[in-house]
This record gives sequence, C-alpha cells and structure tokens, in this order.
Amino acid sequence: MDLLNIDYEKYTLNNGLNVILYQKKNLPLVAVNIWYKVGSANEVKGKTGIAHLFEHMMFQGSKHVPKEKHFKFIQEAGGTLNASTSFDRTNYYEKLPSNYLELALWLESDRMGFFLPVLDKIKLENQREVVSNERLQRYDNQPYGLAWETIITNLFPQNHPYSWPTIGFMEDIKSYSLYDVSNFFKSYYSPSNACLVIAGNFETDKAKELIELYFSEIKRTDTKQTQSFKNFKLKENIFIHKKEKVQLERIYLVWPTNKIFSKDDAQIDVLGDILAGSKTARLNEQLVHKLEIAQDIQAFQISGNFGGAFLISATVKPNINPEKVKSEIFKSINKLIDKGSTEKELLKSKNGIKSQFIYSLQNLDTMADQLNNYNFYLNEPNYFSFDLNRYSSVTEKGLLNVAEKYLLNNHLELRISPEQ
Amino acid sequence: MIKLKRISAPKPQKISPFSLPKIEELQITNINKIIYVQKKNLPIVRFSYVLELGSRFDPADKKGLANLFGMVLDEGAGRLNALELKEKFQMLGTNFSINTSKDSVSFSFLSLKENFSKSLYLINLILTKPNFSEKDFEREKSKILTSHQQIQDSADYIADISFDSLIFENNSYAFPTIGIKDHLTKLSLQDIKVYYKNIFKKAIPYLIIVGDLEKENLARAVQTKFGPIRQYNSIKKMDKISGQKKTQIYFVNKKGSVQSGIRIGHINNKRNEKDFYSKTLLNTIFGGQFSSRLNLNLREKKGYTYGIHSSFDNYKDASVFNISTSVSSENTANAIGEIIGEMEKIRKGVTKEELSFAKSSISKRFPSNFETYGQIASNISSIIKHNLPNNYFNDYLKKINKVTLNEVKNTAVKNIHPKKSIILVVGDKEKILTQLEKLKLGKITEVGIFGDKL
Repeated sequence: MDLLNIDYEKYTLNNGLNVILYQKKNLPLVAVNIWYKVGSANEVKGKTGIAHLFEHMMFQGSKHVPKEKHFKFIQEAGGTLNASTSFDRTNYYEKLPSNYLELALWLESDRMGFFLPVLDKIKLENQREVVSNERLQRYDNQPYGLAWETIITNLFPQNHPYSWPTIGFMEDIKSYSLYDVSNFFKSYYSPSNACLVIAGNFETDKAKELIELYFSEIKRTDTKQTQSFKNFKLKENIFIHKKEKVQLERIYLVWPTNKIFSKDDAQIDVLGDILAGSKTARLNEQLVHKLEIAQDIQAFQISGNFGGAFLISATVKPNINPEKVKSEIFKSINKLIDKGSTEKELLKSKNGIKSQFIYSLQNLDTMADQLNNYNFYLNEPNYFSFDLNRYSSVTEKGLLNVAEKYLLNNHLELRISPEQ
Repeated sequence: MIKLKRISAPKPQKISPFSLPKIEELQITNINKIIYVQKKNLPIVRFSYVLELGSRFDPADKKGLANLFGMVLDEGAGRLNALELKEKFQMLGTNFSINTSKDSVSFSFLSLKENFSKSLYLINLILTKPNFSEKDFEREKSKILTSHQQIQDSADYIADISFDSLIFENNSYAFPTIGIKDHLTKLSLQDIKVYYKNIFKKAIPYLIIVGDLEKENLARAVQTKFGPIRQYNSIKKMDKISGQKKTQIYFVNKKGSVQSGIRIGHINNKRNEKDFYSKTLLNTIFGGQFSSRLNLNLREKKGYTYGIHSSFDNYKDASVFNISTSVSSENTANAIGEIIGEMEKIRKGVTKEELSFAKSSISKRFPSNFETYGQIASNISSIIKHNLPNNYFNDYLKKINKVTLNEVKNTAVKNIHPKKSIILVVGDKEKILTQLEKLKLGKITEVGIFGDKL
C-alpha cells in the first residue's frame, strides 16, 4: 500500500547519533522524537526503576536550560512534549509549530550533551518524591494495580531483564544516589546510543545543518551492554493467590513466548485478537456473551528484545466460581488447537489491523515514534508495509502452530480475590 | 552558516501559514443540522450522530436509563443479532462506538473511505431497527450492575462521582451517567422501548462528518439514510444550582488507601463568550498545563504529587471549577493547604509574563488542535453544544489575545473561591482525619462512596 511507504532519509553523525528525516507538509507542525537505547532491562537488581527516574531527571534542566524551563520553552512555543520508559528503550518527544524546530534541537542537544554539570541533590530528591507518587497513583493505589509486577517477577527467571517492573520497586526508588544517576547517564546517554527522528514540515538542508550544529560536538562515550537472554520455558505451572481490596476475583494466565519481531511474533498477536481482541472474539463470545460468567476478558502479547509473554485475564462475575471461568478459557484454547481457526475470524482480525495501521497515520508524533520503533528493532524505519504484511500473511496453519507451540506449555496463574 | 550559541534559546523562523479547516453546513432537510469538514490527506472518514439526550435527562427514579439504553441499542438490529452486527463493523475495519455523557449521547465511527457507505448503512440500522431482545437487555443490565460494583475499587471514580454529587446537590447534573444501583435494578426492557419510541426517536440529531468525501454524494447518502426527524421540544429547563456558601470538607473513607484523591472546587457561571477567553487564560496559568502554578508548586517544588490539574468543566447548562490530584496520604493536608493558598494568591492577579506565556502557548498550539479527524469532530461538537457560530474558530485567537491583565484578575476574583469551595478527599480515614481537622478550613463530614449522606 502506497500510503504506508514512507519516504525518509537516514544518516549518522560522526559521534554515532542516528538521524532519520521524514517530510510531511500538510500542517505547519514538526515532531522531534529521540529514542535512547536504554530501558529498565538495562538496570541491575537493587536499583530497579532508575531508567524511568532518569527520564524524569532529563526534564530538570541542563547547563544552558534552567530547571522548569524545558517544559516552559516548548509550551510557550505552542508545543506539546513528554517522554516514556519501557523495558527496552526511553523516548523523548515534542511536537511544535514547524518554525520552532531549532528550539527543540537546542533543548534535546543540551540535555544530551550538558546534563551532568547542573545535576544536583535537590532535583533528585524532588523527582524521587514525584516518582514515588507516580508509583502509588498508577500501581499501588489502583485495583489490581500490582498484578503486572507480581506476574513478571514470578514468570521470568531470576536476573532476566524483564523480571522487575519499569517503575521500580519502592525501596529501590528510595535508594538512588546522585552517583547512581550520573553513572547511569554516563553509561547510556551517548549520542551513539540514540536515534533522532524529525518528522513533518521542515526543509531538509536547513534541518541537517541545524542537527550538525547542535549535536555534532557532543562526545560519544562507551555504553554498557546488557547480555541477551535465551528463550525459556517454565519447568512447572506456577500458581499465585493474592487477596486484595477488590470487589471481584480476577484470573491471569501467562505463558512465556518469544522476542519481538521474531518468526512467531505476529501470529501470537493475531492469536490474542482472535481469542479476546473484541466483543466477538472467542473468549468474549463464550464467557462474556453466552455464559455470562466473566465481566471482561483480555488476551494479548507483550514482547521486546529480551523475550515475551502471552497473557489472558478475566474478571469473574459476582457469585460465579472462578474455576468455571478458568476451565472455560482452557476449553476454548483446546478447541482452537483441535479444530483451528476459521477463515472468517482471521479475515476479521486482519481487516481490523489494516485499518488501525491507516488510522495511526493521522498523528505526526505517532508516526515519528513508529519510525524510531522500527529503526530500533529492525534497523529500518520504513517498515510500515512490511509490518502490516506480517499480519496479513498470517495463516490458519500458522495460528494453530503458535497456539500449540506456546499455550500447551506450562504457565503461570495469578488469582486476585477479594479480602473478606 | 549559522553560529552555535547555546547560552539562550534560539529564535523561531518565519511562521508557516495555517488555514483552518472549512466548516460547512449541509442543507438537506430543514430539521437536521449536518456539519461537514472536507479533509483530504488520508482515506478516512469520521462520523458522529449526536443527540442532546444525556444522562441528566434521566427521570428521577430511573437514573442510568440513557446509558443502559446506549448499551442495549447496538445489541442486534435488523436481521443481525448482537454478535453478527459487531462482526459486520469489524469486517469493515470500522471502529464504532456509543458514548453517553451527562449532556449527550453520541454514535460515532471511524472508517476507511471505501467502507463509509457500508458503515453508514450499519449505523442507520442500529438507529432505526434495533432488536431489543429480552436476553440482550438482561445481559447488558447485569454488566452495568457489575460495573457499578467494580467502580467502588477505584479512588478516581469515587472522587469524580461524589464530587459531582456534592457540587450539584439535587440538580440533575449531580447523578452519575452510570446511574444509581437501586434504579438500575428496577429498569425493564419496556423502559428501554418506551425511551426509544417517545424520546430517542423524537430528538433532533446533529451529524458531524469529517473526511475526504464529495459534498453532493454525501448529502444524498445522508438524506436517504437519515430522513427528517420530528421535533422533540420538551427539553427540561435547568433546575437552579445554589452553590456553596462557605468552604466545607467532605471525605470518603477508603480503608487501606496509600494515597488520597483530592477534588476542590465549586459551581461556576455557565460558559459564555464574555469571560470564556479570560477563564481559559486564567486556568492555563493556574492549573491547566504542566508549567502551571499548581503543578510547579505541588509537583516540581514540593513533590507531593505526580500531577495536579485544574479546569472549568463546561457542561451545556452549568460549569464547575475543579482542581484534581492524588497525593500520598501523609501529605493530604499539606497539599490541600497549598492548593487553597494558590487559590487565594491567584485572586491577586497574574504577572505580565504569565499572561504572555499563556497567550503564546494557546495561540501557537492552535494548528495542532486540528490534526486528527477526531480532533476536528470534537471541536465541532463543542461549537454545537454551546450554540456557537460555525465561524467560531476564526475569531478565537483574536479574542484570546485581546484579554488584559486586569480582566484576568477580575475573572479570578469572580470565578475562583477558596472560601466557598467543596473540598473532597477519598482516602484512609485513620491516616487523614487528624490532618484534615488541623487545617481548620471548614466543617468536616464523612460521606458514602457516591457522595451520599451517611
């Protein structure tokens, strides 16, 4: 599909910074998006969450940008901005009126090259409090909010880079020193460990000149590597039961899968869609619609550079035996493995995925981030068509294969029941 | 060659031109209002069918009716049962949704251009030939009752629902869209059918269509699908809302909470063109964005919270000033103290720099409010909701930039009332009660999770 064929230019500065330029001139906007190849997977036990805390610190000013001014400059220019941290990477992004491109480059280069001179204890203590509150608000104080943490700490083997949550454990958040923060910067925030995407309305020559001007003097440093981790299987089923302040019981079933963009990756995504991606998906039809034993049900995969997991979760309706829900989930899985999927449900899933690809082209910042995403995992920013093709070429046989290959293995089960 | 100068922020280049999307009104019948925006860059269409029939029109003993109606309406239509109907949308790759709020119920979809007519056919089927089967009704009713039970787990839901209940007292805006449990239990399929026949079918819809379509074809397609609809003219007048006489503290005891959800605010005068622009600037400075006074103080200076936000929530017939945040339990009173302090302070006015920052931010961000198909549709729906002219956005920036320092100060004095606020806290009583007492800000009352008197 032509729409999904993105015309871009990619090159590397002398200091190793990757640059990707993509012009799109329908609006006077420009998106600037930087991925640093560091996420919580690069952390060590005892200092979990530091990649995310560090992301916060990057907004606390740099040598030429006073604290609080980073946000102010961009907002005053009519821009929007944010950042996020995941297992594998940290991204920083802003979208501004196109005539403010230079402002964004100035700010991004300043914190890439001149972060350390103005790092201080007051900033760290402040953001430690903010991040502690973020953890409380988004996880500890949410119903079922700690489920994910419980799952990954028990599913992944000890020392697996995904065996702790990106937000970090509270006692670790309390423990970071200034040295930890500056050391983290030195270990990972080299231009050679980053990729800068500029997307939108700009003139190529001018943009290149500005990028050279602001980024080329930043020195490359050696970055720490994290060892890759082999795929693993569970030796036996794991069962965890927790009682929490919730009204309804919830069941989580989780299987280890494979790395992102590996051979089975797209098939597993479609498997999730067919099982519980919509109201007409198998598990929804059976458990929510027909039997009315579950209030809601989800099935999806998360995968990254170091591995993946397939998760099914269901909230049990009041006065229903959770065992019934669990056995129905397995019945549906077994039926899929016995009889395979239908042509129709596969087509339904593919049509949905195709539309979502096109809808996602509406946002300049989403596109800039996707260019970085493809480049990060595949070293090729223009992967939209190929990516869609991964999904549209999934076959009934391929689906059956991955269902057999992964869902018949041992799994982890987490139950969260109401405290009585 | 440009010279590298890191010491100060670089100046912007010459501004690139931006033209607003053209908002057109299609005249196909003399009853329906159809707003159309042609947007060409992608083969996408965004469609909304909106009725001003939100949950605030739910009868006094049937709170939750409009929302449940929305849930049941798309459970099968024509010859299609509930699942078949949903599957049709999925086959087209169309995202269809029904959304009920206090002011309106809307039926929207985002589709590929090539599937627009087929999606339109389906939405029309839902609106004109719903199945209303007993089984579907009972299932959806049971779902909403379960949701009703589940929201008790969430401090945010509890805070939002009880805040509205306390703010609006007996006014119809006081009740949550999801409804009241005892009322929901008693609703029958007959209620849904009566609602459909007597209210839904007689309401005037407005349609919002954004996409790459030929105007003539579009007019024809819409004409055949959505013929004239009879006028329903008994929209209820707004009951009076009295507002607070003095500040009072309410709390919901959520045992075991590690944070306190806080809402502070009061009734405000309804959205009007006279003070809308100065309110917008005022709120931008006070709590409307990251670099606001509230966030810089409570997050970036004190570290009490992950974030704090304020807004003038403009309903069709009412407006509420609302500050909302979550803080660690031990800082509950400290945070409230700071918030009230900021409310007092802003009544003394804002600085020239703050006002110019807010104007700059709003003006320069303007083009990015029209980036996606959904953004455009939602901008239009606010035009309609508040009876604004179709060229409203043409003058928007001029009006923003005309606001003076003095006007912002007057607006603050008239619209931010630290001494006449409701302060609501959802948290663990054992951890917060003593703190709240020490604040000495007003009478402290414990309420139930829906803001109900205990």
